[in-house]
This record gives sequence, structure tokens and C-alpha cells, in this order.
Amino acid sequence: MDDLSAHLKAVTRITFLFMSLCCVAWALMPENESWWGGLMIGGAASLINAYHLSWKVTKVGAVAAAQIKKRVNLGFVTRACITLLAVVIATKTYTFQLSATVAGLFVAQLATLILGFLSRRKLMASNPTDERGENN
Amino acid sequence: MGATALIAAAIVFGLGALGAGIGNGLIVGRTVEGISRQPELRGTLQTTMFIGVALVEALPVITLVLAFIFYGEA
Repeated sequence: MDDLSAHLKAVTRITFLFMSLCCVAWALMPENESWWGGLMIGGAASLINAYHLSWKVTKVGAVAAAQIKKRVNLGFVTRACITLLAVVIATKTYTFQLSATVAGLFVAQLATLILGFLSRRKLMASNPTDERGENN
Repeated sequence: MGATALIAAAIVFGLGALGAGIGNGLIVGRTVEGISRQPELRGTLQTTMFIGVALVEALPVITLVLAFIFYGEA
């Protein structure tokens, strides 16, 4: 398993944990259901966005490694449309809070950032010097 | 209110997209350069690129939702 797959699996675990915590909070505090529902829809959309981005990054990496001349893009418009779809579903289909949905859209990004810091720290602890013998 | 909200939507999404475009261009350019130089580091570089792009794209996502809120107000 390469680094990106392992990273994505950890992001998936964290996002599902967050969504299950939202379910528990919804059961315990049903008067704030518009917040918990918005957070869950935003979290699901952010996970879909993370999978799409990982697929695109793998594609860009494959094209760069093969050194072939082919236009590839990162597919931001698709992810923006997924975001808008989540916001529309949360606010029009249901009556969830828009701000909670927008906050939920950053769960995967936040998990990515924290896991990136942790993996960097682990790498520095296992390899305190680089190949030139300098401290990291 | 109408014209002002439309101008606000245009400015907020335009500037957000501009920043994200510059940031994504830098990240992807450096990653492709690194993979071309050292293909054996592809996994590590892809993970770094994934983290960078995910962080950079958080801003335009916020601006997109804000722009549509402003557009709805117009």
C-alpha cells in the first residue's frame, strides 16, 4: 500500500468517526438537529471530495512519472459542484444550518492537515538527519 | 442591495479562485518536477501534493458558498 492510500484510509476513518459522533450528538441533543445534520452532510461531501482529489492526484502523478504529454487537471469544478450539491441538499431538501454544512465541509481537510503533521513528525523522529547528514 | 451583492459575489469568488489557482499551480508544478527527477519518490510526493491541494482548495470552497449566499441575497 502506498503513502496516499494509507493517508486516505486514515482520513476516511477520522471522517466516519466524526459522523458517528454527530449521530450520537443528534440522539442526545435532538433540539440541535439542524446543526448535527448539517455537519454530517458536510462531512460526507468532504469525504467524497477527498476521494476525488486523491484519484486526480494519482492520475497527475502517473502522467508525470510516465513523462507523456497529456493534459490533466485536478477537477476543481467537480468538487465545487459536489460542495454546492451538499449545501443545496442541506438547506433546501432538509432544513439544516448552512453554517454547520460549511463547517462540515472541512472535516476531511482538517484531518488531512493533522495527519500530515503527524506523519512528518514520525518521519523526523525516525530519520533525524537527511542524506547529507544535516539535521531536519 | 442587488447590484452590491452581485459585485460582492464576483469579488469574493474571483479573488478566492485567483489565490487557489496560483497555489495549485505552484504545488502541482513542483510535484511534477520532483516526480520527473525522482520517480521512486512518487508516493511521498503525491501524498504531499494531496495535503497541499486539499488545504489550498478549502478557501475557494468557502468563497463559493459565500458567493452563492450573496447571489441569493441579490
